[in-house]
Amino acid sequence: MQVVIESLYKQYGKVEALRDVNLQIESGMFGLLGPNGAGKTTLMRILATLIPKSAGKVRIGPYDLDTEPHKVRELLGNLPQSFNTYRNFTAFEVLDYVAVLKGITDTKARRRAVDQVLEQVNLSRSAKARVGTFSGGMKQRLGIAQALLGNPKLLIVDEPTAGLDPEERIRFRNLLGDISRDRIVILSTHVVADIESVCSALAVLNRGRVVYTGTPEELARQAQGKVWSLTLPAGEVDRLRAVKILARRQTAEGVQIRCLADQAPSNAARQVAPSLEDGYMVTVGSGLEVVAS
Amino acid sequence: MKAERASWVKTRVIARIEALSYLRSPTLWVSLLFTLLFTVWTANLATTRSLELFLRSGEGLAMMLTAFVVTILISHGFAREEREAFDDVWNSLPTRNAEQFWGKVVGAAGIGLLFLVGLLSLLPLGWFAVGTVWTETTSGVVWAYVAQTIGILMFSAGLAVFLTGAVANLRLRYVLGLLVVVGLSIAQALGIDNHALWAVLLSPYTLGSLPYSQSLLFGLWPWGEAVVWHVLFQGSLAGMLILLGRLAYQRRRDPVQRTVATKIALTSLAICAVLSVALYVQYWNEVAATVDAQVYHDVQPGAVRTSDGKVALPAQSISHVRALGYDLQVRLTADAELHITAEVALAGDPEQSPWPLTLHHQWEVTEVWGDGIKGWTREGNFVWLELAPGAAPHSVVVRYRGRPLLWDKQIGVINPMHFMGERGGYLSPLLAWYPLPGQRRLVSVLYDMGQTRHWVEPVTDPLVTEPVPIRVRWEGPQQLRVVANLPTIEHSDAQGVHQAVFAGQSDGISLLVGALERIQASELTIVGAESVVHGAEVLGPAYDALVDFYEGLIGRALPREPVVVVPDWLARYYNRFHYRVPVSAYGQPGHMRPLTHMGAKPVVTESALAGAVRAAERWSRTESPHDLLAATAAINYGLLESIWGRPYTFQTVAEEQPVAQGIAEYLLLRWAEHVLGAEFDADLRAGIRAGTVMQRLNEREGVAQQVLTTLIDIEERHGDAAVSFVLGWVYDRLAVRPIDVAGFEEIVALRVGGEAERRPFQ
Repeated sequence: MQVVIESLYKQYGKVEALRDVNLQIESGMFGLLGPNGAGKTTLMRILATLIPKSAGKVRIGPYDLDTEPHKVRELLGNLPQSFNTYRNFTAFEVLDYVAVLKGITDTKARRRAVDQVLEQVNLSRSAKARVGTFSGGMKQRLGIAQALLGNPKLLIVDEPTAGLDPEERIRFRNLLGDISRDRIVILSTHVVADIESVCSALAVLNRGRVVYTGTPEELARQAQGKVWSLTLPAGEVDRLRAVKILARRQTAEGVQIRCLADQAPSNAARQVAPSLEDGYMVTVGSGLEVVAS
Repeated sequence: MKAERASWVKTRVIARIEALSYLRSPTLWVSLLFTLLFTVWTANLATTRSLELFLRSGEGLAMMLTAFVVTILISHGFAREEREAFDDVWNSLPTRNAEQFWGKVVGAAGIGLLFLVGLLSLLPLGWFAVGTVWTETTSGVVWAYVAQTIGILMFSAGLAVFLTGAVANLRLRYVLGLLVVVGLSIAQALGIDNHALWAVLLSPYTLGSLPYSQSLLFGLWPWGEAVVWHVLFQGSLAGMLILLGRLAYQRRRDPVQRTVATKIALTSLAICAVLSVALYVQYWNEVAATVDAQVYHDVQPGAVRTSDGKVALPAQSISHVRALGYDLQVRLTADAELHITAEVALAGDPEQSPWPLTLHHQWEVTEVWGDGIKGWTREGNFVWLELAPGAAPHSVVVRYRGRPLLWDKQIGVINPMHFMGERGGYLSPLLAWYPLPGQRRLVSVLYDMGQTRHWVEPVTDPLVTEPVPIRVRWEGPQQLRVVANLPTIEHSDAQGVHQAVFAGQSDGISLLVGALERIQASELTIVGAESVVHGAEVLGPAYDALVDFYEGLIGRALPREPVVVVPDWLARYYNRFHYRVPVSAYGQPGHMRPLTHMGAKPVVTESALAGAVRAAERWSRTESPHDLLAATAAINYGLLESIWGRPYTFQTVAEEQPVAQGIAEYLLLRWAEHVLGAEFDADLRAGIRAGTVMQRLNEREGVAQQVLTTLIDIEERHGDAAVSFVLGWVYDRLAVRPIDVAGFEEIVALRVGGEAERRPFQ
């Protein structure tokens, strides 16, 4: 299955949230990276049939998003940003309800499906607890559980790790990695580490436009030869020109700096291997579209 | 087939989850409990004696409250996913709009059902609490209550669904809901329908009630096609609101989806609504046409001319024609048409032909004849008798027929004031149901600022200057009984026909017709709707105590006229004789208006009698003087009217009543003092004497107050024997002729002497 997006535009009044977005997404985990306000959530909501697009074409599998939204929904699992649900219901009741709405009308099959996703997200022991009593991490897991019901071919996951503690975040990333084997999972985030660990392909959105599509490794390579590390006395840091400081750390010898620059910012600087975050910064910071070979 | 089944399952599950969500919400239960308690509280069980009265007073504001609560709850339910931040998942699930929408509607119907069950449970509760008999009227009122409750719930659901679809902001939705519910409740009271008759349909209630009269005697009026059109409109409106909500709901989620079926249904409902509006307006226009013609004849000076051709507002006094007696044959047919043959003994100036008679224009005159009458013409409310040259007719016979109906609308409620129908009716002499001599103005009409009529009231000018002999022969269906202001001479039932003859001296004739029951409570006879007179025997001892007290004070045997119980709304048009003794703190309402539209018979309203019976039941248990006062309050006014008003009942108060009113007020005071004993506030009596506790509004009330203070003076200086002497003489004099200030002074002087007391009014 494929998700094909061609010349997609979305306007809110005079504001262009998406401009000429073109993407082709294959099975596996696809990351959607970009700063806040880049248009990630707008794109996700369009794919989830929640808002109409202004122009362009979107096909999800064999179905056109405009003319067959109901068919598209049959392929979908959606975990929106800041997921919540009926607080007065138990996790099991919520999942049972969603399962029926996803077309699993047979009682036994539904029971199995619900148990399975509860097991998958490690919520079996909390199945009979009311959602109102859940922590943020548990709610997110419940969110992914409801999205997984019905074995959707396309899973849309918008900022799933926001508000989670590090342990929950890692567990969640692993869970996404597991379930992306036989489907398309579109993961939208502005946290580079989330993409780095699980995505096989990604796109970077900036100001409504796709500024990069490719693999994480290729994105990282965008910063090849441009990432420098050096240690300077505290007073000399401000004298650096034409560099973008990515990190600074106070050491006994002075201030250790990691930065982006086309050329070595000083004689003391040494080139280091770029990370995905460096590539992302190069891509977003340059404002130029970079297409991987 | 499989897809259809799956769709049905989804709809059902959504409905189940919705219903469960509602049921798990404490707000629902608190709202329901509050609504029911409020309804019971407003129903005022303490004074309600019949299910009809219980429902009538119980629905009041409770219906408005129900509408608001249900609107909010359903609106809240439709926004559940939004409130729970589940809407993005909900809307991306593979469910059809119809499944989501109708699932929610069915779930919300669960709330409606719960409220319906709750509100309908008041029926057996009310039945158990008031313990009355079940009559045809009860059935009618119960059906009206059920219909209204369903209508309110449908409307509320429609409003909630529509607002949910049309208004995205949750708080704005609530504010709009509240404005619509309250606005519709008071819209008619503000007179929106004065300019557009159909506007009355918009509101499922008027201040919480159906915009129609209800009474124990006549049931819901009119329980006919107007109500059917109203209910049809309400149903169509609710359906339209729901479907509009459906379209708005769909537009948000799937704007490209086809909505043909919804639009067809919407159009059908719109046609239904428009049709019901058209039929409703046509119905009332037909009725209103007669009233407007009435208004024209009564108000337009050009339509009224005196015999010398001058334009003037007519009054009895301008005519030379006098009535000397009446012999009326009245027959009520099975289809509620009255056929009347009226023989009127007349006197007048033979030189002034034609002679005018006033007969309400709704009557169709078929024949007029008499010695010396050459011909006749009908013009509006008048019949003109053309005299033969030199003839001086002694009598005229007028034969006419009709089904009179004169209605008025106040605070959005349509009330008949003069009418006849299958369930009976009321004929007032003030509205010329028999030929009155000369030209009379029949009704007063008030206009609102937009020059639209909004109030009609009978004119209470004198009917016949002196009481004349009257005889009425009644014939009608056996199930309908008739009460007149005149004594009953004979009555019989045979072959499904009820016949009665009334005869006596009076200045007017009024008839009350309906399924009237008569009960005897000691020396008290009560005539009224079965469900209100049932169990009223308990009033007997209280009534006896009251009459015994008055008889002892006046020194005369007082007539025990039957107490006639009339619908509450009927009282509005015919009351006068304004007592002002401020003894309300002692169980008797001050500033009470007794009812005078049954002549010399004491008249009470249905709700007043129900309250009196409740109080009498309490008194029989507690012997509390306050309960005795409450038990006798309503009857007291009617009784005093029958004692001191007779036989001039239909005379205007401005003419002869101030003296009688002062005496009546004195007796009210004495009864309260007698019952309460030491509990009575002595300062009140001193205040009345000093004129500090009574407000004089006009000269007439000034006279009444002087009569009252004079009697107090006599009592305090000369004792009860002197009071009895004066009251006895006044009573005897009243049997012969009205009593004026001079006559009262004369009687006072007879007993107490002394210049100061002899001239109390100077």
